Amino acid sequence: MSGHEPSTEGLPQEALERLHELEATGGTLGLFTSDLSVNEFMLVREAGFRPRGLVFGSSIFHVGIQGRRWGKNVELGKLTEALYSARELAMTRMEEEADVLGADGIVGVRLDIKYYDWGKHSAEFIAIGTAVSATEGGDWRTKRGLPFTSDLSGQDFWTLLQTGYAPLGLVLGNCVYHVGHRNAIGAINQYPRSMEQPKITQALYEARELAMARMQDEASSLGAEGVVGVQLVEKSHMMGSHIIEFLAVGTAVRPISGEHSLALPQLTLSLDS
Amino acid sequence: MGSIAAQLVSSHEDVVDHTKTSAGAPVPPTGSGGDVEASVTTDLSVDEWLLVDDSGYEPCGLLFGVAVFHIGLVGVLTGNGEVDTLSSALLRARELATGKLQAEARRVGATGVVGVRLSIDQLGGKSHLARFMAIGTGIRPKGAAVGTESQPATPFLTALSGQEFALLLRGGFLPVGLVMGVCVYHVRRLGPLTWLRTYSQSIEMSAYTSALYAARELAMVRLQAEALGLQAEGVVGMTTSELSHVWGSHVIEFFAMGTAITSLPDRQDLLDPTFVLSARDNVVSDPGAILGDDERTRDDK
Amino acid sequence: MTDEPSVSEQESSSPRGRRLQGVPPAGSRRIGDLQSGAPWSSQQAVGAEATLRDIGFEPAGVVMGSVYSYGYPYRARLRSGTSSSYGSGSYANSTLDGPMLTKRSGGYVHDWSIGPAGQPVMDMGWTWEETRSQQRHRRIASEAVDHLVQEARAIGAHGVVGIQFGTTSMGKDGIGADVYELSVMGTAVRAPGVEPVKHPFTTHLAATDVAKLVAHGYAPVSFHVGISVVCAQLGATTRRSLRSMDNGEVEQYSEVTEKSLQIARRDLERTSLSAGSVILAATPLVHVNRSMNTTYEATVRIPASRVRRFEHSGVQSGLHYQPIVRLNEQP
Repeated sequence: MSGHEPSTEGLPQEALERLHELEATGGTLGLFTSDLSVNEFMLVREAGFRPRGLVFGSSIFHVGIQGRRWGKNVELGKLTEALYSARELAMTRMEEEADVLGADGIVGVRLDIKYYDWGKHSAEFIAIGTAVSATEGGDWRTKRGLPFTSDLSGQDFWTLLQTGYAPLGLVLGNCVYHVGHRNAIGAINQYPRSMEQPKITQALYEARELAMARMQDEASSLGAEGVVGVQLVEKSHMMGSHIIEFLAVGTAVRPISGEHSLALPQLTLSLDS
Repeated sequence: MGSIAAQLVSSHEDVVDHTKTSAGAPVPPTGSGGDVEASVTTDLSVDEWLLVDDSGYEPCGLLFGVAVFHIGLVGVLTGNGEVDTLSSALLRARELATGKLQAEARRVGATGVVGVRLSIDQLGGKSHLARFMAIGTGIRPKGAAVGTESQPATPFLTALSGQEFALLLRGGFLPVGLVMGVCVYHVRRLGPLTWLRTYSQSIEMSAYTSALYAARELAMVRLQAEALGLQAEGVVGMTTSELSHVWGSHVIEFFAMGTAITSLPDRQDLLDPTFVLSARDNVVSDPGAILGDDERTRDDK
Repeated sequence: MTDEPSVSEQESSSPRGRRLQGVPPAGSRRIGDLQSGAPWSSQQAVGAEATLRDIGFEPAGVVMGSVYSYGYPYRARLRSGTSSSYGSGSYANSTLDGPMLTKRSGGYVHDWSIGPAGQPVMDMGWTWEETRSQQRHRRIASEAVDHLVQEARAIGAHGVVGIQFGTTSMGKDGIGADVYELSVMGTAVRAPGVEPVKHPFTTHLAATDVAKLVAHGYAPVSFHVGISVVCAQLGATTRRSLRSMDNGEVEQYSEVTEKSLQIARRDLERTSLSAGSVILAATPLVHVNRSMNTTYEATVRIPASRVRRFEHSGVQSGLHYQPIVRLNEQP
């Protein structure tokens, strides 16, 4: 074990209570909780891990209205930072909860955003997953001594380990971009509709690249060899259609063995639709 | 002998056509050895039923538990805080429904109920009425007679499907019960000063964060308490949800539910899964595509 | 209907089957065409088709049945003389000592309450009753299935799979009764070379499910819809709890819904050509109708198929039949 004291800043009292309750004490064997499906539960066990407890972190963020620059295609830096921080905060708290349990890592992390009617321009960012511990011990934590995180499902987690890799952490890169209004990009009416709009193309292209690059940077700083399961999603959230957040998410991985091949799968065609 | 279909058709005729027997007596179903058992209804799908059957269990009835609940008194709603009356009312309502389901299970001699669906339907109208309905299929080990010592006093309930139950059993685990936790929280409206102050900033609203975070944790603490009470080893298949019901968006119900399990050490099989590559695309066939829509997307996996 | 062909069209086309009882002209014509070799249709997925052929069935055509009907305004009751009334004099039956559970209704209870003028008032009534709507509903469901079976028989089918059951509501008519159409539709299948039968098997299960059953030693027998329409005139206790500030169970409502589910289930278990079988049901459909605060009606429909044990001496060898338990979640 890394021997460091888990930081519990930002965790409500109820969380600490709940996590401590899960531990095995004198007479009891302890309890685990998880939001793993039975399939995932079985495969996580096959992979040599056992679930410890459901862990999650939440943060409610007010997203300020940045001055709109109607003309330009530009990144809205403050919003990028805000949305990034909101998720990071939620994930940090989730990691702290896993740390309190002394878990090796978290699988099946889901990042959710909840909007409530009473919160105009605010949203609850949630990170939720199941903390797991290796049954045979071993060194699974990140080089900073924190439990690994991954958005891999139980099935993908098992498969990843089979291919000789281990998860390091969930990595994120985002970019909130404002796509300029028609008038300012200069007489769009002049262009026939079917032509590519070079300026807008460049803008959106750039935004995606920024998001992806930032995610890659995070992976580098973790010392990862690669990132699996990358998804690039675009959302307008509630900011109107000219503002889009590009978010790149994936799980950074490191090799744990030299062998990276999988047994040959059997080909089937199911007759159930 | 003819094809399977031919045999099916002719044995079906025997079953339905009572006049075919020489004695004129109704013919018992093929293969039952002459003794006539009572009919049993189940809402397990064919896959579920066959897997449950494979695991050594048989269905003993489609069971229901219904509780229509009226919420008259909501309580005083100010500030950020739990609305105790609602938390306990909503938990109580669900427990009533699942309690009745359990009583039914006991009545038919079931060891447990699988595939439990717990649904909440608002019944509309001025009074705040919600119908909590728990439906599932009771099961018992095959060949167990009703009313023997093997029948537990409290049949377990689980939302797990037949397939999940069979898989769990194979891994050496048994469900012990459905566990739930409820926390109804009232969120204070944002005052105008606060709103103005934070208008242009992007910051965490820590008061709200801790409130909602705490509310979720409370719901889970309660679920855990139930699991500990059942002396379970763990909880799987947890679902967490936020519901608003009829009291408006400032009152949120945080609800967590899962299946508590315990292990049977002498029954643990290793899974040893095989990789299978399906030649079926993960796309549901879309009539629009056939009728000539422009876009046709495929998910190549 | 609007797509009736002209008489000359009818005469000049291929021979039509005789008019089927209760089936509209278009239906009889279509069935007639199928009898004379028109192309069959199937609602089963291609993979499903394959599994049925593997055991020796071939698709014969899509068959259906439908009935249009009206219900009763939901205040209809099986027996009269039981009503809650304020201040009226005589009550037909005043000897009560606890609930009587009869086959058709819940306990008969009487309940004291205070009327508008402060006078004591007695409410008497059944906590729940099966309604006339229920009988009607069951009859027409049965009729619809009969039409479907008739069509199947006409094309020499030995069974009908994948039966879908649906009710389309069409609002209310002049006297406030619900008007609806009840329809069933499925894919008829035939075992080539086998004599036609009087009672084709029927099931809501799709072809692949039927193949799985057969592989495990079972066969479908018949399709039924368990139906109940149970209604309750609310007693004073119920009305009080609805107005109250308490958080609590409204027991009469719970009871009516539960009874409705149980009666629908019993309807399934009772209609049988043979005992000793398992009934595989689809999810029960529950619908509740409330009128102000006086009446509560629960309608339950449970489509289901009865299956029986079936041992056969053939081999499903055409396809490599491999049961797999998939560890991936379904999308």
